[in-house]
Formats: sequence, C-alpha cells, structure tokens
Amino acid sequence: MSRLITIDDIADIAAGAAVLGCGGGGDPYVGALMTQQTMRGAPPVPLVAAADVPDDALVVAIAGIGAPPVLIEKIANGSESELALRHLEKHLGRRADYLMSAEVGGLNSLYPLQVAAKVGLPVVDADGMGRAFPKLEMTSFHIFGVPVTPMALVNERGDLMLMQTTSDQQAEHFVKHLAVGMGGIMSSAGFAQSGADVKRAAVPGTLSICQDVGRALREARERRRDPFAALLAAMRATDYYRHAHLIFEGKVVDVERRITGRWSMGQARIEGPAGVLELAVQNELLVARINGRTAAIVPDLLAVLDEDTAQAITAESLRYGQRVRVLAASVPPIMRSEAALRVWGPQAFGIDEPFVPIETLVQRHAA
Amino acid sequence: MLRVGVDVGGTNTDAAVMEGPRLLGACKSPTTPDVTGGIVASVSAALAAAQLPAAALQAVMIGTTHFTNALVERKRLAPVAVVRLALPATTGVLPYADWPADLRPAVGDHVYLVGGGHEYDGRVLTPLDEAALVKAAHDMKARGLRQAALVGVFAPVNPAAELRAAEVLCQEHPDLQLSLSHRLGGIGLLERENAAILNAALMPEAVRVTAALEDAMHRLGLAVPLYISQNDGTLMAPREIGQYPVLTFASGPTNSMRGAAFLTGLQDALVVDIGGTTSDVGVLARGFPRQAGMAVRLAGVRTNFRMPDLLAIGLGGGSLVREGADGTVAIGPDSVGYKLTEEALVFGGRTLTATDLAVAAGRAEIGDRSRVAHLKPALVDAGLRRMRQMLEAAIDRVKTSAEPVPVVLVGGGAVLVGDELAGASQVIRPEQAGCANAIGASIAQVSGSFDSILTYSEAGRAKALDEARAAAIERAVAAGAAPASVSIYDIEEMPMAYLPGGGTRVVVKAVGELALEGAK
Repeated sequence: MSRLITIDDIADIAAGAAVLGCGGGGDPYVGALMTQQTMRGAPPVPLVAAADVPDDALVVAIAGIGAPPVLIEKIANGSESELALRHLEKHLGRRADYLMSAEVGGLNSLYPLQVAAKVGLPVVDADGMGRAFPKLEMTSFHIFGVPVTPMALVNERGDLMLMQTTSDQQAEHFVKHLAVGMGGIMSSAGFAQSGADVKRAAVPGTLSICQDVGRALREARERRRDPFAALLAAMRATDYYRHAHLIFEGKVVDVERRITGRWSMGQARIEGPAGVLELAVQNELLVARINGRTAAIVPDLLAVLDEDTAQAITAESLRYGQRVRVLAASVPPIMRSEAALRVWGPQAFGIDEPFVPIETLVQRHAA
Repeated sequence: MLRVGVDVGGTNTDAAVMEGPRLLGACKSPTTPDVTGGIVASVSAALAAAQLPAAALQAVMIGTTHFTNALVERKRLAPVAVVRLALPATTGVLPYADWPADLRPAVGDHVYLVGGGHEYDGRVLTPLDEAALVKAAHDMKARGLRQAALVGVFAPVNPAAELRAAEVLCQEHPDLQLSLSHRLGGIGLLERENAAILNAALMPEAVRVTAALEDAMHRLGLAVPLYISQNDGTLMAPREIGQYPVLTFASGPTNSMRGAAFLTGLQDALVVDIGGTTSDVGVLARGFPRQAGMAVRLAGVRTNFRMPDLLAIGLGGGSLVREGADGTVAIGPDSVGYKLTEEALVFGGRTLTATDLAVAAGRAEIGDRSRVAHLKPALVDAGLRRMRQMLEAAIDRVKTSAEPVPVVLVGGGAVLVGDELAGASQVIRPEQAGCANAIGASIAQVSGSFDSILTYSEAGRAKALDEARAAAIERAVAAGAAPASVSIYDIEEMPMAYLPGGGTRVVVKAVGELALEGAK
C-alpha cells in the first residue's frame, strides 16, 4: 500500500504532526513552507508502507537537529539535508533507496519529504516513535539496536560533520555541543538501516496517520463540523492512538518556564469546570495531573489544543488566558514495552512514578 | 499640561481637550478623506467646548487607524524592494511565501537575496556582501523602486548588518526610503520581514498623512509638539510615523482601552468596547492592554507585532435581532452598521436591531421610543438576556483568573448591557465613555523596548538583565520620556531550549512620562 504525497498534502501533515508532537518537536510552520517551496513543480513523493520495503533496501532517516526556535529566524536554504544524505551515502559506499522520518511529531515529519521531493526518492511510512522526544537515543531504532551513527550533519553554510560514536548516548552528548558551533540548527542523515531493520525496528504507518489526523481537522473546519469529534474519530480509527480521550477543558492560568541544562522545563496550570490540570513539560508535555491525580503520563501522547480550532499549541506557545482542551492518547504498543519504558518511561525524565496506560487511567478515574 | 487627544477613526474623528486628568471639552465629527478637515473641525469644537484658545494648548496627540484601513483596502500601497541579508541561509523559504494572492501584486515582486546577517548569539553569519548591495541599489533605481524592506537574519539580536546595509544602499540610491526590520519586530524572520514589507509599502502614504497632520496643526494655528499613538498606547514623534507607520496599526482599540483606564482610575480591569457591529473585549494590566502572544495576521499577512490581545464578538448597537420559532432570540453577527440611523426601528426604519431592544427596555433614549412600543416584552427580555450571555461568555474567555474583575463599558453600544454581569466585580460606565479613544490618545507616555537573545553564561544573568533594562530605559528617554519618570513596565524571559548555555530571549519594556522640553 502506498500513497502519493503532493504539495497540497503538506499542510495536513503539518497539522497532524503538531498534534503528535506532544507540544514539542518544533513548530512545523516554517518546515511546511520550505517543503511546499521544494515540492512546487516537482513530482509527488511516493509514501511506501514499511511492509513493502525490500529487506535489502537501504533506508536513511532525515531529521533537523538542534534548537527549533533558531529555525524560525535562520531558515534553512533547503539543500542541507541533501548534502547530509550524499555525504552519508559516500561514507556507506551505497545510495539510499528510501528516506524515512525519525520523529513524526512536529517539524521532523516534513524534513524527509522535503529532501525526497528534491532528490526523487520514496519515503517509508514509518518513524522511530510516533510522537516527539527530545533525545537522539529515544527512538524505537535504538531499542532494537539500530544505531544513530554514522550520521552526517550539515548546516546552511555547508559545514559538514560525520559522526561515528560508540553509543547512541554518546551521539546525543556530542550533538548538543555540535549544535552550538554549527549555528543552532543542523540537518542530519543517519539511522541507516536495511528494509528488514525497518520492519523490525520502526513504528509503521505513522506518517500517513499524521496526514489523516491533519486532514480530519481541515475537513471539519471546512464543513463547519466539530473539530474535536473529527480529531477523536481520526485517532480512534488507528491501532496506535485508539485510546484517545479529551481529558480536560479549561483556561491556561499559569505558565512557568526555566532552563535546566539544555532542557526547557516547565509547568502549566489549566483551570476548568472539572478543577485544575497541571502539566509538566520537558520540551514535550510529559505528565498531566487533574486535581493531583495522574491523568496521562509519558510515553502516552499529550496535546494541548486550541478550543476553537482544535489545533495543537506547542509548549513554548502556551500563554496565560488561552482556552484549551487537553488530548491524551495511547501510543504504539512497541513504545510501551519494558525495554522501551527504560529509555523514555517516566523515570527517564526524572518522574518518580510508574507508567500507567491512558486506558487504565481513564477507567480508574471513571470508577 | 494642557493638551488635546485626537482619534481619527474610519467613521469619526474625536477630540478631547485635557488638563492633567481632567477633561475640559470633547467633540466628535465625521472623518474627512483628507484627514485634515476632520481634525480641524473636531479640535476647534473641543476647544470651543473647553472655552480655550488654540494658543493655550501645549501638545497634540493623534491616534489613527488610517494605515490599517489603507492596507485592508489594498489602496495606496507602494511597490517594495525586499532585501534579505541572509545568504547562504533562508532560501528554503523565499519572501512572500505565505501572502494572500491579491496583496502581492500591490507591492510587486522585487526580491534581493544578499550575503549577510547574524547567528543566534550575535556572531556574523556571513560577511555583508556590499558589492551585491550596490548592484541591488542600481537595479532598484532602474526599476523605479523607492521603498525597500531591509531584513537581516537575527537582526533583533544584532542589528549591525542591517545598519551597514542601509548605509550602502542609501549611498547608491539616495532617494531610497528604508524599513529596517529590527525596528519593527522580534525573532521570527518571515513575520518580521512581512512587517517590514507592509511598512515600506505604506511609507509614501505615511509621508502624505504626516503632511496632512502638520497641515491641520498649521490651520489650527498650533506651533506645539505633535505626537502619534503607537500600538501599545505610547507616543512617537511624527517623523517616526513617516518611517514606521505600521507601529500605529492597533492604536485605535489600544487608545479606547487606555482611555477607559484613565476615566475610571483603574489600572487593572477588563474593558468592553461595544461599537455598531462588534464588541472588543480586552484586558488592561497596569494601565496597558495585555498583548497577544502569537503571530497576528494583518490583512491576511502573518506578522509578529506586539498587538493588544482582543476578543471581538459580533455584538453591537446595529446587530440584527431574529426571533426563532421556539421563542429563542439570535443577535448578530450581521449588523446594519453605520446605517443604524436609517434602518433601526427607533429611527423609523424596518430592521429590528439590538439598539431597539435597549430602547424598548428603557435602558436608552435613542430615536423614537413609541416605534418599539409594540415589541413583546418576552422578545425584549429574551434578546437582552442573549446579549448578556454573549458578553459574559466573552468576558470569561478573556479573563486571566477566576476572580471577579471590574468591567469597564465604553463605546456607543454600552447601553445594550445592564449593570449585572457574571464574572464582573462591578460594571463601570465612565461618563465620557464616548470619547475614551481620544482621551486614551492624550495620555502622555512614551516607551522604549529591548528585544534580543542574550547568552547568560558569559556575563551572568543579573548583569545581562541590568544591561537590557538600561537599554530599554535609554530608548524611552531617546523617544522623549523625562528620565526621572522612566520605569520598567515588563521583563519577559523566554529560554531557548536544546542549546547548552544557550540564549534566552529577553523582552524589556520601559515607560515614562513625556517630557515636553526634552522631546526630540
């Protein structure tokens, strides 16, 4: 099964990616404009199901790495990712057959499509998490032993680094320092893997889910239907996110941010008829507590949505007075395994409580 | 200080003669196409009401939405050269990427991408390509372009590239008028670029309007300083409006809100401005409107101006009233608008409007009450109830806490509402609410701001913030504030994630009282 992605699909993918971005992953606005500019006049990009990728094919993940806020000012020139890809190919001695997203939540849903349109490659309908996470080792690829490196990193000047590390954690450690010297934001090509690896280690179907979710939101808007009903229906139609619930509605009454190390830590407080919902943030939204009781927790998906449009609001755009609804949803089962939870469960973010699936929490609170 | 505040709206020009906190005289007259006539008529009448000669005035403050209207109507826009100092970055999204199709032809398609700009920490991204700028200037001359938007990557962090590029361009093309992006907005290249383009396109009109304002002063026999209201309600000198007309875009609603604060003495309140077609609901925090946090679209163009955060709902004096089969009553959002005095029942018209309900209920004496005597009390009650619900919902959305807050009602439609509103600790209708906008314009404050990304690790946070405060204060004084009166209104720190020791965006605003002698 495959579909063709055209310029007209980009806005939908960006809107869906913002929901799956869990408040992080970067605002897809600039990424969407860049992808649209590249796709203008280019043939559509085939989006190929993971199951249809030949076992011996070479698949490369394309991602922007660094500080997304830099990108809204120093926009990429659009050739960085291609350069990174070519350099990685040279190192591997082989051309890539497919591109893939490492993280469909936020901006990085669009990076592979932009390069694919440029170089004429198909994109695999999969990623490494089905949401957004802040660290390089937080991917299903890592869980299943597909390393980040070799990874090629390029900035807009054309400065190019090839990174080969002894572990994914080391790669993460180097990349954050490299980002400073490279000007804040880089394009990368890495997570090189075979088609057989993709079938084993990737989360399949996530990019098309982004598109479906975004399309549902747009169509509801065009037909003046309830966008929240449309969003829930679109999420529940998927295997992964089928336990999707609007857990709270209210008004943002307090936002507190601080930087710890390189992380944007914060708390947001939302008040509504059902009481108070508190959100803990570390780049992404990690845990929601309603009147002190945990209502959803990482790695399950959390999104704060604008009350009128149901569009996702990034954690950095949360402001006093916004009227919002909070969405929580299950994530793909592969993301909730014991091995996976060791990498991105609550403890990985310093939260001293166990992961409880949203479907259990919803039942528990209803009881 | 004796002064006159003037608000030039799309329909009316209001004037208010003020001495300190006292209103001495006010007048409303129709806005004229030349702007000048309406100002002269209003100010003369307000002076007459105050029984003062023009010579008694010490300053004039004018707020105008003229430029917003010019943009919305897509009229009187000049073609613009866009110069982006950014290569080799940013070509992934070219200028005008997300503009409404009908606005682009009005400003043309003259784009120059040039090496230059800065990194997020202020380092040079690329040395400025002066040869390319010289070439661009000659090309602009050949195309007859006289307005240019100059936009450098990370100019809010370091304006050096923009400033040097401006010198080079002006040397080659002395007639060129430049809009420098770092003067217009903060981080967000596309939004700031859009603001600079709109500003450049409006410049010739700004020069014309400035001349009209000065002509009005001349005709009034006034030789005193003239100031213009900005989006945040503080003042700038007229030579600035010639350069930065977009900074006046939101001054209308801002002046209304600040006027409401002034009339009630409240610094923190919710202001509801009920007009003919819509009501604007906004929050005053320490005398200034709370500003929108997100990108604002102006005539379909995304910009990052700091604009007042207003919620507009379709409820005004001219809103149409419709009765459903089940007895429910719907109000608006359509309105008879400025035709209220022809179409409303109380004026002998045939359309049932919100004003007719207010008159029928005895809340207002407008037109001929006997013409609404036939309305069923149940309809009147249901209609008034519906209006109250609409306003209460809007107030609840805008409020920043669950605590009841004072609500100030201004605008001609304030009669539509009773004195009880859920969420309001009290409902206040200032007597001179009709000219709140002109009074708002007369509040003589000036501001200076600082908006940049700072790296704390080098100098330490406290020292960096001190320097930011000092820069904002210095800019307020340069804009005409009395140095002793300047204080810091707000400091916002927004850390940038993902970069170790990385920057924090710091926005500081300083406000002071206008110093007439010291004003430049």
